Amino acid sequence: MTQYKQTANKLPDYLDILGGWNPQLLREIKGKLKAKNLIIVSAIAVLTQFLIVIAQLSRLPDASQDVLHRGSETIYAVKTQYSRYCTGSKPEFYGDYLCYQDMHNHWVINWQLFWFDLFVVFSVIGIALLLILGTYFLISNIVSEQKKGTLNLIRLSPQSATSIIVGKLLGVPALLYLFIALGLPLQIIAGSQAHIPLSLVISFDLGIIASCAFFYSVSLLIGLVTNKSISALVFSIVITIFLYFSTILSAESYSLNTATLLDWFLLFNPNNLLLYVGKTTGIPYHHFNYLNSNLLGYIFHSSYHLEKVEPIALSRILFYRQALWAKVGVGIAIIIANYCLWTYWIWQGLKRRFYNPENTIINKQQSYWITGYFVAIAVGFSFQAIDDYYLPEHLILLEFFLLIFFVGLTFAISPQHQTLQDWARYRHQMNQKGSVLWRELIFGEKSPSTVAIAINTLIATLYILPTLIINPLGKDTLPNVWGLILGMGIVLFYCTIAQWILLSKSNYKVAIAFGVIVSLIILPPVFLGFNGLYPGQVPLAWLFTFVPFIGVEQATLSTIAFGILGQWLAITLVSLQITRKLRQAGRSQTSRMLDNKVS
Amino acid sequence: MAPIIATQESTIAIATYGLTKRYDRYIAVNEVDLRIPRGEIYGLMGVNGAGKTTVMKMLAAAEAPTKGEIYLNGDRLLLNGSSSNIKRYLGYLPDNYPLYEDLTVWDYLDYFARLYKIPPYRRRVRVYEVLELVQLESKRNSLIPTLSRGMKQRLGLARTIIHEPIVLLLDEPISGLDSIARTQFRSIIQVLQEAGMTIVIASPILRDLIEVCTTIGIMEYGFLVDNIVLADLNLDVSTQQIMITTLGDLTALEKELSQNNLVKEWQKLANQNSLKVTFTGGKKDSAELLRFLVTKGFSITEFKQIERDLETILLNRRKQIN
Repeated sequence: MTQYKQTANKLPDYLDILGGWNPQLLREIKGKLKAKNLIIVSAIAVLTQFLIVIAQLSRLPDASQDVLHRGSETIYAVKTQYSRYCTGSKPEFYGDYLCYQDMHNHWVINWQLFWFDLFVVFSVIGIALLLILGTYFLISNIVSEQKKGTLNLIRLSPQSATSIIVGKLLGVPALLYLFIALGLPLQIIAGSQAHIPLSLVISFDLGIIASCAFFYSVSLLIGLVTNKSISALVFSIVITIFLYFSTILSAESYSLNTATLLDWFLLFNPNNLLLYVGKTTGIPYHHFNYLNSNLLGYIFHSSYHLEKVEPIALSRILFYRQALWAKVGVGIAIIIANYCLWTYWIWQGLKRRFYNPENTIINKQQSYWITGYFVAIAVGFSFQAIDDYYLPEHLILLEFFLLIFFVGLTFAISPQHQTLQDWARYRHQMNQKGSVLWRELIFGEKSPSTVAIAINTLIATLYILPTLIINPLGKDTLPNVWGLILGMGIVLFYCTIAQWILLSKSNYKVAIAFGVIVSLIILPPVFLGFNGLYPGQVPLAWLFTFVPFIGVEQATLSTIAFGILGQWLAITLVSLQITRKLRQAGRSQTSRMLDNKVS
Repeated sequence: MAPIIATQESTIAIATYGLTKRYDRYIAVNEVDLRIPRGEIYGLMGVNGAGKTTVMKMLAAAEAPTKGEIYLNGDRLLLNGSSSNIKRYLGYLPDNYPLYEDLTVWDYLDYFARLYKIPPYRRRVRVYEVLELVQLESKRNSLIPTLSRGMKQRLGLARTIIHEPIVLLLDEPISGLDSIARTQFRSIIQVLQEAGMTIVIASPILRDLIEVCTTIGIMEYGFLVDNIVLADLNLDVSTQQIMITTLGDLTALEKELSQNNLVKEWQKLANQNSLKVTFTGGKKDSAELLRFLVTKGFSITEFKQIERDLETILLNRRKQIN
């Protein structure tokens, strides 16, 4: 046929090779990188860069002169100017420095700071655009593909989930990548001119890429799981808030890390790398006053002296008492490793949901690994100092995060109502060789998650317990051990309740479960507090709030024993309810009909 | 449950064993055991909600069965990364034939050709081939939203067959098409069958299926209640229906007919002086009957064998079973 010889529809070779490697990527690029879009985005990118550079240049001292009249003489004198980039003294209560000229009448400019500021502006804008817009694009894309049914067709092709996910991650925000790529040369030049080693500039950019990989994978998973267009907006807003606050946390007084588990969050914000990288330039710390309001200083009553300590939050974090972030290169490598670890687990969920939307996000076996990693890392950040006076507070914070983590894990490993019903109904028919109930409850794909959650909390307890004992806490060791055991009991209790609610048919069960857990966390302590029932008076009651640590200090051994017994009784009762509900769901149609006749 | 080795049945393209799908308490598909031989055009008939689409989705690996097993050409179909080989020879056209708005016809087909790993030297030729088959060559550079409904449906079919599947699943492929588009679609399907594909078509309209299918399975309330090989029905010529019109008295004619052994039953046609006679004899016997009636002095104006309508036969058969 003559048509075959036509050159129409022939792709340029490089695109053809790209499509051979990843068809999904080629498809996204074909849909998005059209000539009109390319021109518009490039124009905006160039214009934005131009405006940023102009704005930056306008902060330099200019050539304006003062005109003085002395008798008949007119003297042109250089106007006294102040600028952030000058080298003179800094008047009190005034932000900028007095400007000097050299003997050639040129302004003496702190060019290093000038370039570093440009580097910061480019990076902050790039990070914000990548993380906020990119996640928005990805969620809307995957949700609309699901709604239209096209994702199902991709699913049915022999492509692996990995290849489709990679194609989506690289292709959907293609125009955004173009915008960022156009700004990259100037960012790298600015970094080098600010005397940041080129290798470090590249590591910094790799860190941003790793953060994108992590947040983009999370957003794909959110899109796949929620399947609602509103998720795109919500998640973008959440990321904006996270970026805003965690940046402020570390940059506002550019001095503090919290020396608690909260420091972990610093690793997830690529903005925090800016000052961290900036310290290698040798620019004095007091120039890093990008957010100059010291709100945190008021909160924490900071008494650090900028001259004495290194005021970059990241550099001061300890992990199992090791100063891992003391060296910038190593620090960035660890941050990238942190992103990679969690991106890996998110991908496990993505793959499972891609192949079968009815799958739980992760399976039970994976949940044990994830709990292991989570607890190991969380404990590392919780016990940063050697003899910590605030250890109980750290334990409460740890328990709080474990509670959030385990409730999330419960959502991730609990099968849907339908799956559970089918499991209960057909389990005996589909029984494969050697499949016994306990094995199915621990490892099974479709079984309820009660036992698995209990094992996960056990893993956490067993990991934290030795840490408490090794710590030289003296007489405080025992109360903390009891506190831990009671705390994990409460976590398990709340998770069991969450599962019970998830078992219902309601469309809002996730929202209901979330609401119930939040009120269980907030209401009991508030109720006890308002009624004047303080831990000293009724320690037992406090053992059933989510902060049993408070009660333990005042409780006798028998009270603690009662507390533990009571918790397990409650857990057993809820578990029995779950079993009863499952058994009901698993009855056959016939037995249901017979029952109706009898009654 | 004993493992079933489907590979032994080498002529079977699609086999399901106890295929069941539940939505909450509602059982959409109940213990369906399908056996579809290679090269067959199998029609899945049933009213809306009978479970056709659910069966199709499970066959296409778009949904997991609650219970039961599916074998395609002897390979077990599972919903995880392991079935990518099976997916290569499976083509599925869902009833809403989803398409992309931002791609041209060519780019759309090229995209799926790549997804299905068609080697580069074959890809362009293959895209042209399917475009020719579905008669969309002239539209290859048009954006998809500019196509008509019939064209979109044909593009959907082109996408479904781009990787030369050997099992083709079409869910209501001709619903909502005008008669010209239907005829085009049917001829395409016949071409595909000649190429050796096994095709499953789901439709609530029996007539649509009879026109193309070789076997029809009937679904009711999630059960596969009947499996009819149409060729078998056509061979069954021992009975025929004859319309007899006379100018004279009908009751006299009826009296005469009642004495003939080969006449099984008859019915009067409204507003006409005619009888519809169910006659169990062959062609010779019917000629004999006509001669007999004429010699008896009846003024016969019409004596003709009624074209046998598969649809009525099938519906009658269903009535008898119920």
